[in-house]
Amino acid sequence: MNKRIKKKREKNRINEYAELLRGVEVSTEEPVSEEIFAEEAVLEEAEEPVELALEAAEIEEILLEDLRKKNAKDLDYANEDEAIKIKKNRHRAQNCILFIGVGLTMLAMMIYGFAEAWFGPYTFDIALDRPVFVSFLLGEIDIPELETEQESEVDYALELMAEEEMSSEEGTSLEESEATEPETTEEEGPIISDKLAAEYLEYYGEVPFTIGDDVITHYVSWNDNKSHSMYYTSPGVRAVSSVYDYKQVDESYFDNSVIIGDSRIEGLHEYSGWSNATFLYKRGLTVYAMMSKEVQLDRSRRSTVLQTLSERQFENVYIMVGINELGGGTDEKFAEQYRENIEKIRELQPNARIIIMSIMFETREYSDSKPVYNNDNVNAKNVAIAKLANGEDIFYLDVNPCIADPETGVMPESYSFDGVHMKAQYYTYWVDYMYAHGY
Amino acid sequence: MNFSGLAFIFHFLPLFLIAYYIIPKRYRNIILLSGSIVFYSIGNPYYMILLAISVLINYLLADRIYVAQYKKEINGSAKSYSKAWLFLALIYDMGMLFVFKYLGFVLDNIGLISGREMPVFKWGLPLGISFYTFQMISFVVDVYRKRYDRRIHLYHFATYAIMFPQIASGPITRYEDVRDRIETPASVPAIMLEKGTVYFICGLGYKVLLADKITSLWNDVRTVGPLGIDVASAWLGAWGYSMQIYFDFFGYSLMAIGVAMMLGFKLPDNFDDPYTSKSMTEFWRRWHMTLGKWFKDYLYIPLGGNRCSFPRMILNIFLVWMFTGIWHGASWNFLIWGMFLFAIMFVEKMWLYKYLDKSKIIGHIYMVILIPVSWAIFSITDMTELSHFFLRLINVPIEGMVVSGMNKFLSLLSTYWWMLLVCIVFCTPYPMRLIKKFYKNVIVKLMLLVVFWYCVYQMANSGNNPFIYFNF
Repeated sequence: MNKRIKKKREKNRINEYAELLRGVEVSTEEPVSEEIFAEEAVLEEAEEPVELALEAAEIEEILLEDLRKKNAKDLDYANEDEAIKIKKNRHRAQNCILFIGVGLTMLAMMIYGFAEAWFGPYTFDIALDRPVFVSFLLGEIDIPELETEQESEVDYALELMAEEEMSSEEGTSLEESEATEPETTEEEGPIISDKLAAEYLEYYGEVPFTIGDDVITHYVSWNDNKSHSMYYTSPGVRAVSSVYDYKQVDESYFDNSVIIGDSRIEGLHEYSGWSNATFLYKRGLTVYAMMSKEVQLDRSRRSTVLQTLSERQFENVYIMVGINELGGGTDEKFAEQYRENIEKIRELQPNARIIIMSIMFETREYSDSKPVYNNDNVNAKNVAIAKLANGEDIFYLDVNPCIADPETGVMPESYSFDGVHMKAQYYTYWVDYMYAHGY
Repeated sequence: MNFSGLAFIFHFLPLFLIAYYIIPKRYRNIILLSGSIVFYSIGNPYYMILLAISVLINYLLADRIYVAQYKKEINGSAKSYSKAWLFLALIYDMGMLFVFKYLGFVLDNIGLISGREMPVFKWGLPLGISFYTFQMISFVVDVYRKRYDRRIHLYHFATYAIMFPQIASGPITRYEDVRDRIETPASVPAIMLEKGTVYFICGLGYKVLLADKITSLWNDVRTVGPLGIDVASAWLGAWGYSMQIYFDFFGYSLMAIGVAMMLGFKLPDNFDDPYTSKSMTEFWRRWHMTLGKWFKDYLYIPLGGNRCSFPRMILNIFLVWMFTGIWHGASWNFLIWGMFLFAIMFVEKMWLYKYLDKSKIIGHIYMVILIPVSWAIFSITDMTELSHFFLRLINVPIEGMVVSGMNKFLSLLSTYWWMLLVCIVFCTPYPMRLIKKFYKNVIVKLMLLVVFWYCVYQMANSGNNPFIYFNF
């Protein structure tokens, strides 16, 4: 029985194939799905086309082989009996449970994503690019909510906005009238020594100024390329290293120093050659996880910042985090968390100097290609944390000048492969810069 | 849009599949064609125009060839312009590829040599241009070679040429591979849907769980730069990159095959466990098979293949590998890479191959050394860095080095050893064989579904990085 059907099927297919070759219209229906009807059809069709088109047995042979190949290809089954068996229940749902499972997942996620985009607090431009369930799954991406929708926080938001407007306005106005501003700073704030002034001029090309009542933090101008991201505000200025009479130091200065940070600190650990300093680093470390997350103490040991700092007293605590969480929270939230961390460190290390290192700029090319992970965002975060320094026992150290490209002011393209991390041989500039900025 | 992106999996694919299955069979090509146009246009709509022009011109010229040959047969006249049409098509295709892919590179180098200021072309590389150009050439040449005995409809040809599963980076499909389905659309059997899904999930897993994970090993080595790595790290990094490029491209190909299968098409396989090869010759028979076949059928054999004089044959091999090299990218390192492959192929052809082929272990050791070396050349576009990297591979010190013993290697190894092990296991044919054998088992299906969910979670977790091969 099986064999007969098979033969007829084959013949039937050959005829169809022959028709195809001759360019005759063929019905687009399934070739042979119902055997009962096929039998008759075969008999009818079989005689006609063979006469018309196929002259020789060799053609038939070629076609037969073609057909066999086709059948095998179609279902990936060399065994034809099996192929027939499968063809019989080719549309049974239990044959494609996995497909249904995946399809339902896709559908559910799609609908959920669109619903969230439509009804949720998020805007479509985020949702389309990265479906909103991302936030649902991870629960840690913190997209700032729109100020207008928060009734209870309206005042706070307005206050913030006013503050920012003020600062940015002053920033821009000050850029134009640099000459007048430094005079006022010298009256109240720390005095910039000639040496430091020369250094500032060399690095930034201008004399730093202060803004408003805060006479500690000094700024230079900064021009944003993109400032419309909701992840950061545009301060319009760039913070410079705290005003201090920096000393030239050597390696032994770091005997009693702890350096905490992310992958950049890992690089410093590996290529600074400082075996005397204590490094606490972890790739992807964020300010939010800084204190409690387990980090690398050295290559083989692990510890947490809290634990290490409570076990031993240090003279200097250097911190560099911030590049990883550029997309995770506003400047205020970032700075707030930073402040909390510093307070905790202060508790554990009452006599230590805390040095906030600036987040290092990326290369221009990398920055320009990223809507969130760009230098403007880095700068905004830097300005926010620079304000935490008090110039007495908490300092802000802008490490960017050590490697800055004189033209762009950020990391030169040739210094980095990925646009974020320096190549091994350039860490020495950072090391030298830290030697030149001892306290 | 790329296959391992959330936008593809959760927006484009479900919407497209719903439309595709709901619509009556005979309109499916319309859905496929328009869906593919949408897929392609999302990246850059202007390149879509370029692709459309390319489709039109190639179709018209192929049609001219067909008509000319047909007329010649009917009338028996000796005169036929089919060859002229063929050359026109080849010139157009090669010209487009040259202008968009190589002109900038050529002008740069002319500028460098002559010291004159050359015009700079800043337009980007249209998505998949290397792939679709090759497909169109194969179509025109196949028509010229009388592979199709019927006139082909423009609408069918366009559906084939723009079909979204393979438009971005292959597998390089020929019209005859998909012809039946395009010309006589049929319903897709459940088993094909299931197999397609299995392929898709496997591909996604390879891409997201293996390639994207191991990629940071090579990235670490590159980030540090050759001046900061010890010899062991250099090798480890190169091995890592070999794994990355394999799982990236293999995963992509599997996904393409899987998606196509869900639509009822059977695209040709692209990989046949290449890393189990015992010689470079064998490796390239199993790596990116559709490209190898293309070069064999449309370049090597027309040039005379190996049925000609010995020097001519060597020249043919040389040309094939040089073109393979520059096909992968317009940069000196790809040329060097092509030459490197040629040198190895030459040596193997002369005497090494027969020993390697017979050997049990030596062949594998030989490949474990050669594969990372060849991929390192492939990966590093900067010439100084490439030379430095090679000096590090053979442990020659370079001026300005800042290596501190084996520390880098140890830290890399402690981070990546298990990932490398998993990759090595998946380089063998066994995992795929097991899946193919047991995929009908419900437990295996459930496991695959979990893999899919985990992939989605991972993709959401990390901003996913696009396929390496999208740059070519």
